[in-house]
Amino acid sequence: MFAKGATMASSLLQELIANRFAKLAGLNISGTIPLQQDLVNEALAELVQSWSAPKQGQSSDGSVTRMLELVRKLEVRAEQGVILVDFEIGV
Amino acid sequence: MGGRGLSDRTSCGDRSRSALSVIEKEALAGFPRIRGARVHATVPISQEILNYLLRTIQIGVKIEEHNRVLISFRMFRAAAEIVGVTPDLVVVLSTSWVLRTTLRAVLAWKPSLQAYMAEKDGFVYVFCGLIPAVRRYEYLWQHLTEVRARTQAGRLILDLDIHVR
Repeated sequence: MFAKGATMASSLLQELIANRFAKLAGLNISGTIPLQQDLVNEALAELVQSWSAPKQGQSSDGSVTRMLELVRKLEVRAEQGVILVDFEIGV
Repeated sequence: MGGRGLSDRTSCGDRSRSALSVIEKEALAGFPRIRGARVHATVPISQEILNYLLRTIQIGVKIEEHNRVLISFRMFRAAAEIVGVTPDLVVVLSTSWVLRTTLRAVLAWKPSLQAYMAEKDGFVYVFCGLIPAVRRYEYLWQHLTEVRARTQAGRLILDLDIHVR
């Protein structure tokens, strides 16, 4: 049942994307989300990691991967209304 | 500094995971790191999508103006009016005595439907949150605090208030 539900949701999502969300015309979402910095950093780490690992079958000259491999540290923190990005790049 | 960035990326598992997987994990855990978030959403759901979700329990709906819906189950068809929707996605319908009596008969004939529908005190209750395709996302909709429903011909419009506690 779970797998069937997942397949349904997946095909529904694919159809929505294919039709540029036309069936959701009028959708509006607004709000305030307090993000903890460790969550942002975790998401950022995963994002950079996925960028630096091209999927199988995708052509890539490897330049992005090679550049991202130079990033030794990338973290964000918030202080008095300012978001600070701490990073370290090294060869 | 409590952040966990790339400095300890070696502890991360599968390299194919993306930032979305972090959000999904967070969602499955009940969004502990975005406690206090408040979101308002207006979500239009087309009749087509609704029927797609309901097909597992063999119920079809036709959405009309002024919160009126036409519900069909095999050879049965009946008109009803949406009275309200609770945060746990129970749709309360007002309908005729004839339909309620018919529904009682259908529920007796098909007991498996009793998990999803009930008739009580002159109203019909549809437990949408228990429908498999919807229940699967309980980790998301459990944060709903208020749901208001209205209809236009062919679509249901839900106004949702979400508060992550």
